[in-house]
Amino acid sequence: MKKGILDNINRKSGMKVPDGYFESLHERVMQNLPEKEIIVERPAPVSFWTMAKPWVYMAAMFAGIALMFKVFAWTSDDMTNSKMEADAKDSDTEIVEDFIFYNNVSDYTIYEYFAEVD
Amino acid sequence: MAQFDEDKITEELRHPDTCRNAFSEVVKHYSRPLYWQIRRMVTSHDDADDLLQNTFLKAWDNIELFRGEAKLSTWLYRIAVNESINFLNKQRRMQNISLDGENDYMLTSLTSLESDEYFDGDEIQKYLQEAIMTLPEKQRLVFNMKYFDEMKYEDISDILGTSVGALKATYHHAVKKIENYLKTKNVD
Repeated sequence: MKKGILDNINRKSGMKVPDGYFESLHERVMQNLPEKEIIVERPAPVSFWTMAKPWVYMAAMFAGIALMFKVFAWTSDDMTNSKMEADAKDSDTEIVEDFIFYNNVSDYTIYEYFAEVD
Repeated sequence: MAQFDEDKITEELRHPDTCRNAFSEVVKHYSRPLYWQIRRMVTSHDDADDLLQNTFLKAWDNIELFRGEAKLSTWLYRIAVNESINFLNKQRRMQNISLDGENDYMLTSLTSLESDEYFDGDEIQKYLQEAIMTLPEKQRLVFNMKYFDEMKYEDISDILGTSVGALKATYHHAVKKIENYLKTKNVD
């Protein structure tokens, strides 16, 4: 490979530094550096609410579930009572009719009974 | 002299209690290469001294941002290069020299180099410096890193953020220009 002019001259720039420059440079640089503020990370204070929050949420959740059960139970009780009352009414009528039919109760006896009740 | 263990120093730089001592080692280790990098860009010793101190000060101020993703040397060189380029731009602005007149400014600097007590080069070294001063900033940076510091293209690429291919082309152009300049001075 052909050598260029730059390969034939030495790789020195001809620049120099004052005597002892690099020796004193380190000290000067370090003296000029500001102190770093050391940030010690302290754990943030834990408030009562932070500690109680999960328990409160859990209690609220259980209360909600209980309330839901209560509402469902109340609704179904209500429906059951209505049905039972209706069933009871139906069964009363059937009993009276059966009694009248099977015991040959005369119309006069029935009138007599209602007259006594009144 | 103790061996400079970059991984160990990088780790120590992350801890507040060991940070300052580790940085002291960094200053000791990188003072010379960074100084010469800056000096070859700005030519004056006094300017290079100021810029080197600013480089270390900036590195110290931003040490928390250094996460060890790049090499410590790459990070420091980047700061030094930015400091040098900002300084040269500021000088040009102060002297009302446009970017096109960049070489005029550098040749003016060279005139001051001749009277600089910290320049004792021979005639060929003076011509070489003159030739380097005629180069655009980027070519000058690449030429200095490759020719004087003998840095690898990969390392220069990391510092300047330019592809290796582009750097090779830049260096080739720089060498051609310098050789042509030296020929006009009958250096061969």
